[in-house]
Amino acid sequence: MAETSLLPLVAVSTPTVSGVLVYAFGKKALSAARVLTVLASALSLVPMALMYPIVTGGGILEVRLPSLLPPLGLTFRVDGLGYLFSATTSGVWCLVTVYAVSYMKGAFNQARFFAALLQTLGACLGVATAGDLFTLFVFFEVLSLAAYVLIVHDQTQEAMRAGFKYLVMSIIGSLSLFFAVVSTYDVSGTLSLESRGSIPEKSSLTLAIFIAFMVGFGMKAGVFPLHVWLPDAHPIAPAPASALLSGIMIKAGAYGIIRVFYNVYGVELITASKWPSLLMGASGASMVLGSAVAILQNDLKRRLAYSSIGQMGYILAGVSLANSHALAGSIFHVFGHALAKSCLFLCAGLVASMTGVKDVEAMAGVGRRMPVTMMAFTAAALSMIGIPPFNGFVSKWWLSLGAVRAGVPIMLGLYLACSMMACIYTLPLVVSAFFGPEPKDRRVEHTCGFEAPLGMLVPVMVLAMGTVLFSIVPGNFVLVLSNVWAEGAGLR
Amino acid sequence: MRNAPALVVVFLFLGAFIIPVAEMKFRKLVPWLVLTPALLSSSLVFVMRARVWSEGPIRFHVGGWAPPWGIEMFVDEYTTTMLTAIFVVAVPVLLYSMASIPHELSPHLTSRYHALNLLLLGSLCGMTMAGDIFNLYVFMEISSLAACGTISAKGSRESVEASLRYFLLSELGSGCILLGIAIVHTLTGHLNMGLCLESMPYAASLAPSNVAAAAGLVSIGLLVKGALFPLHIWLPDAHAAAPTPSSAILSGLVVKVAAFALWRVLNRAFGSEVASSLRIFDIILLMATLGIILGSALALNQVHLKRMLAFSTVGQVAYVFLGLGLDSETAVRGAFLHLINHAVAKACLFLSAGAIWQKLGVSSIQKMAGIGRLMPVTMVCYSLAALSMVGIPPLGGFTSKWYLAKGALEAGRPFYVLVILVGSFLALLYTFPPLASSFFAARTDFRPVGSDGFREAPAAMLVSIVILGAACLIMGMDSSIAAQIIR
Repeated sequence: MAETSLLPLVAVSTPTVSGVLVYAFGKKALSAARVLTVLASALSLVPMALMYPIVTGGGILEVRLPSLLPPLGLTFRVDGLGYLFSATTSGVWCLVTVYAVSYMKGAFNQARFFAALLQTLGACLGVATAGDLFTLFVFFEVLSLAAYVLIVHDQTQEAMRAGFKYLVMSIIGSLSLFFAVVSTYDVSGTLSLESRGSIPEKSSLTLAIFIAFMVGFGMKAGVFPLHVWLPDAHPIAPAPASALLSGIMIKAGAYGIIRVFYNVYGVELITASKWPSLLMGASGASMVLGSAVAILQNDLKRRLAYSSIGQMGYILAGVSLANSHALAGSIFHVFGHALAKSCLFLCAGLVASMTGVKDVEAMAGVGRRMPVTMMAFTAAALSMIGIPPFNGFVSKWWLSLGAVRAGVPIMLGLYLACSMMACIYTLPLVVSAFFGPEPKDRRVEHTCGFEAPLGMLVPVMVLAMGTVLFSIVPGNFVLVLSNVWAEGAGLR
Repeated sequence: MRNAPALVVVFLFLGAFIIPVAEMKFRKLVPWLVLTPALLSSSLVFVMRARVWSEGPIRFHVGGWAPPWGIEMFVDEYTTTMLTAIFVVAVPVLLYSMASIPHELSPHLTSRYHALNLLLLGSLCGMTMAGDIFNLYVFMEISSLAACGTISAKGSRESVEASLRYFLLSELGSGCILLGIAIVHTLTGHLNMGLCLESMPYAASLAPSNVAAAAGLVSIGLLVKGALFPLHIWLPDAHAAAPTPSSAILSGLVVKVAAFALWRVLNRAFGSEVASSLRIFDIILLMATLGIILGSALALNQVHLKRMLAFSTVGQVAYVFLGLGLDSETAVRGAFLHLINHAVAKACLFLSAGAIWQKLGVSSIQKMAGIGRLMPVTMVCYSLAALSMVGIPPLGGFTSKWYLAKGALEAGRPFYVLVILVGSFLALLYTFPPLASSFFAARTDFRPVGSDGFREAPAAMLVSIVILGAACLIMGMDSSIAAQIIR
């Protein structure tokens, strides 16, 4: 059924090659580099659009490059899940890049930032379109390194420390992943993600491999207790980078875990064993703890980062429940949360750069100065809480359905409790932003106007509309594809 | 082309002898005399490679005398791989040395230094191609003496001290090897490796402890030269004190050739039965494990860049020994790949360190902050090489680590996968902080050395750094290279 097509390769190589160009010539021709950055991330949407009819028709695209990258060569293969992930990636990326170009205006060393932005896009798309674990691992590693550049961009002492912590943790993760991939190759003789499970049997070695996979991917997904780098690293980056780190890159871990569950181990092995409960425990803990700690944070971006840990818990818990409803909910939440969290971070960045407000307590009155920004923030927050008719409600519905069906009603309770906590850590600040009294001593840095410039406002508005659009228009193809893929994986 | 194996050595030695003579009359010719022999020899290696692939191993009898009496040079796929590694590193390093040596040494020493360098390279090629053990020993002695000369070339107190220490330890190793060879000769009556191997089972049944003593002595000697932990103590001082091109050759090639020679002798002269009955491979594995972990850990607390790189060599050469010691097909393949990958990466690192020292006078890791902005090309190549050494895809080091790990699993020893991973992690810890500070830290007050201000190193140096840095990337990207290293 797989047809050979160069589209995935085009999608991955466009930003990667442009990234190198931007770095090489960025110092001499900065404005050209900025244009190229936007252009390259917009161009990566073209293959996505061209793939759409094929993937929704149930087709699979594949391209093999055995001569590139020893020992196994690169393979790209796009199925429903890969398509959803890569399309979400390039869509959000394109918007964030537009935002970044105006946000970074006048900042130092922009060429390096944009180059890293494009490299991470290429790596993310590579992860999403990888046809075997080897390719996935290679791009995962490139992603980890390129993201480091984004995190330490400001080069403050704090940023360097957070970056080093991030780097050490993610190298531990990728070494564990390396072990898992090599041993999987040794045990099953293949690394292809075509099959519905290539690991032959349950044994202590395959359990060790499973744990190594969970550590490797869980590190990036920020799952408890491997999340310690996340609350430092995500907020310290410039706003567009935080949006992508928390919105997209963190999901690469979840994507990997879904692949490991249903393409490497397979439904039979997973449901016959108790191994998913490992992930279920960890993700339940990160759900509750992430959301609870988010309430205590005063720094807005840090609060959002903790909330990401909680939201990743939703997604991974859905994966571990191992039925088609929960998995479809998870996949849809990957999409929904990507839109919502990147929108929230972009809004936080706008508020910080326009009014200088970084703390939650100082937010009072900001909504009256920047109504559009704060409306977008509100929409994204509501989506994250899961209020109908936003995307978050749809994913929460399917996740809860899955929890009930899997016979784990406690997970349903956790979902609801965490929604409640999401209300607590977002709504009061929204209310005070709109209705609270503005402090007298507010220093407005841009006196000319209150609202952000259009170049940054438009991407934010598009993202905010996205958080509601997909759940109200009929024929929500994201949800349909999620369901089809979940059932195709052999889940009931 | 029948004489190719001999000519490879002859060209380099001829170059070494002509240079001091040429210096007296034609000073301007000297730089060309450095590079020409290396290019000639490397083209011969290219030819031999093709021939070995199509027709199988080459056995060249020097002077036409057949083995029991004459000297044999033996060239198979592994030999050509080793030779390729030597020349991939040597040609850029020699190019670099043409520009850097006039800065590093006093003028009357430069041509002698170049001559010693060629002598060293020629003897390394000779060691690689030696078909009998005594011949191996002779070339090894030449390489030790030449290496000593290059290490002490700077003439400073510490370099002479390091050179003397290297000389003493290395001669101790040579003594062991000579003793071992003598025992082998009394036992089997042969020095040719192939003939030794034939009569080894009979000798082992007759006098097992003598065979054990011979194998043990030869192994110890070569392990000293290969700097496998804890026999590495001569290495950090020597590699750090030598002029930059020599550091690259010593760290990249000299220790690797010793590892190669050990593997060769154990497999082709003693045979794997003798080696496995003596558990030599297990001992090597134990030492390699310690080397990977402790060598890398020692690299962690170094202050000087070159010393850090030297300690890292202790850790990285242990990977090569690990692969050879695992003795499974994939692992040996990984060892050879790592040998090349590390040689290229380490040469690039040393050359970059040298360029930084020459342009900015910076030799300590602490002071590297901000260098990435001043010398971007050098530092990008440095980063490629450093990350390749850590084993990050898509760079060369990743491929070799993959093969080593796969080989360990195939040999049924997953413990060594863990060792490899811990080693990678430590390598990241010691390579990354200088990288991060050079690119992501504010610039400190540099004083440029020389009159042309803050710029990249001269073209010859920069080109060789870029060649090696690009090689790290290409080795990791192009699978045909990895497949061709050893079929």
